[in-house]
Amino acid sequence: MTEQLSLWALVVGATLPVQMVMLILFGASVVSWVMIVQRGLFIRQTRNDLSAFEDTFWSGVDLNELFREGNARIKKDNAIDGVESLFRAGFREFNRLSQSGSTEPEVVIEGVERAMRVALSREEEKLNTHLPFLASVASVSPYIGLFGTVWGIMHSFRGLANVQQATLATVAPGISEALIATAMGLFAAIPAVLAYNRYSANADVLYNSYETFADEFSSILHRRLHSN
Amino acid sequence: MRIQSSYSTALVCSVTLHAVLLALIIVGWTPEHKKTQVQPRYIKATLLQMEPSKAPTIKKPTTTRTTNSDQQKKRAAEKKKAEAKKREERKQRKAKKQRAEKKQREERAIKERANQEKIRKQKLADAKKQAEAKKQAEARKLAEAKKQAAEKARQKELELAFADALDDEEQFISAGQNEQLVGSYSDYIVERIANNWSRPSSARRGMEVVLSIQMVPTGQVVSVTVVKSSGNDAFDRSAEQAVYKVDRFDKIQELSRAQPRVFESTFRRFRLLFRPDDLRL
Repeated sequence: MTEQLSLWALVVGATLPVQMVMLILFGASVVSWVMIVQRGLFIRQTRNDLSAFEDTFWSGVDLNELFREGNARIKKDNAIDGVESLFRAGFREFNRLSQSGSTEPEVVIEGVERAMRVALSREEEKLNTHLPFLASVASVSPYIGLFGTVWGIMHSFRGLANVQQATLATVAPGISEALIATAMGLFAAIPAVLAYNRYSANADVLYNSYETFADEFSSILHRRLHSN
Repeated sequence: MRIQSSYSTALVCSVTLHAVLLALIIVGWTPEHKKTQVQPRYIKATLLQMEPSKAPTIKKPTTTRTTNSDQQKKRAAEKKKAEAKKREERKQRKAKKQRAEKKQREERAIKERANQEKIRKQKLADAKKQAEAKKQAEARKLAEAKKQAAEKARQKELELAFADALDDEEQFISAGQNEQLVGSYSDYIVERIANNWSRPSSARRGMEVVLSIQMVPTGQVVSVTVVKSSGNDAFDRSAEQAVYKVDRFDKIQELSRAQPRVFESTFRRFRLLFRPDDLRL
């Protein structure tokens, strides 16, 4: 028995429940990594979009032009999300209400705010997609791994009962194989925890900046109504 | 569309990451820590001959203000330098030769010394050998004397033993006749013990215990002691108990009445090798 057991041999030699646990954990790890990478790309993209749009917005460009530009982009099949969708929702509502004839400024502002609130909640949803999945992988996969380990150890001790002379060598491979399940659970969980914490913090920051933008934009529209 | 593309890249990233991981595991890569062998520090010592350092002392040509004679002087200085170099080279060559000769001489001297030492050692060794030879001769003489004495003693003993043997022979003859008798009785004892033995759960084939059993002429077992344990207490005890259970070997009483001598010689006190599946005296 001088030959060292390779990890793969242990995985292949494991009992069926332990193998199932390992398979589940492996799948969870794959999916969670898909989420992690996708979220990372998405959040970076959104942040870039936010800063770019805020730059153009505060550079004093005409709001009508900005809106038309967005229309052109939508026609080119480029979906608009982030702050710009907030802006578009607010501005569309503002235009409609002010063109409909009811020039009551409070009513207009109220409508604009409502429209922007809807858009904001939609954006928040987008920011938080997949985060619950990451959270549940992070919290559950150690337990699944632990279950596999317990099962494996149980099995190896049950095997020990039938042996006349119990040595460490009779249980050691079983326990080693069982511990792989815990290792896999942790392997799936650790990146998921890190990613969840990081991305939820990022999403909060983005959401807050959306909110402030919405407030600022409604105050600008308010000023415009009163100046007219 | 942007989101979809980000999904596909994410999928590719994740799958490649896990594939690499799996491949590593299948190949059997384990983080190895290299063993760094610490080599003992040693100092290599060699004998060096100290050379008298004949560092060339070059006198710098002193520059004077007279510009005309400067060049000449320089040339002269260069010539001097060259000559000095040549001289030094010659000197060095000479020195080298001398050194080489010295070395050769020294080596020769060392060799001679070594030879002399060898001769001396040989002489010493010869002397030692002679002394040892003497000692051995003396020892041999002593041993021979001892042997002779011992042989005499042995002959005496043999004579005595012969007388004893004559006495014993008669007993031996009768014992030979009794062998069959003893055999049948020992079979009987074995059977009785085997019938009374209850196997403990920890008994295994190959265990054996040697019991010493003591009887009185009625066949009553007086004492049982374990002479050589099997290593398993339960097994030892079970064997002992089996003998105690028999308590009394009835047929032995008949034997002791018929042939008290055989009883005294074989069954008064005897050893029993006790093995499961194979009980025998």
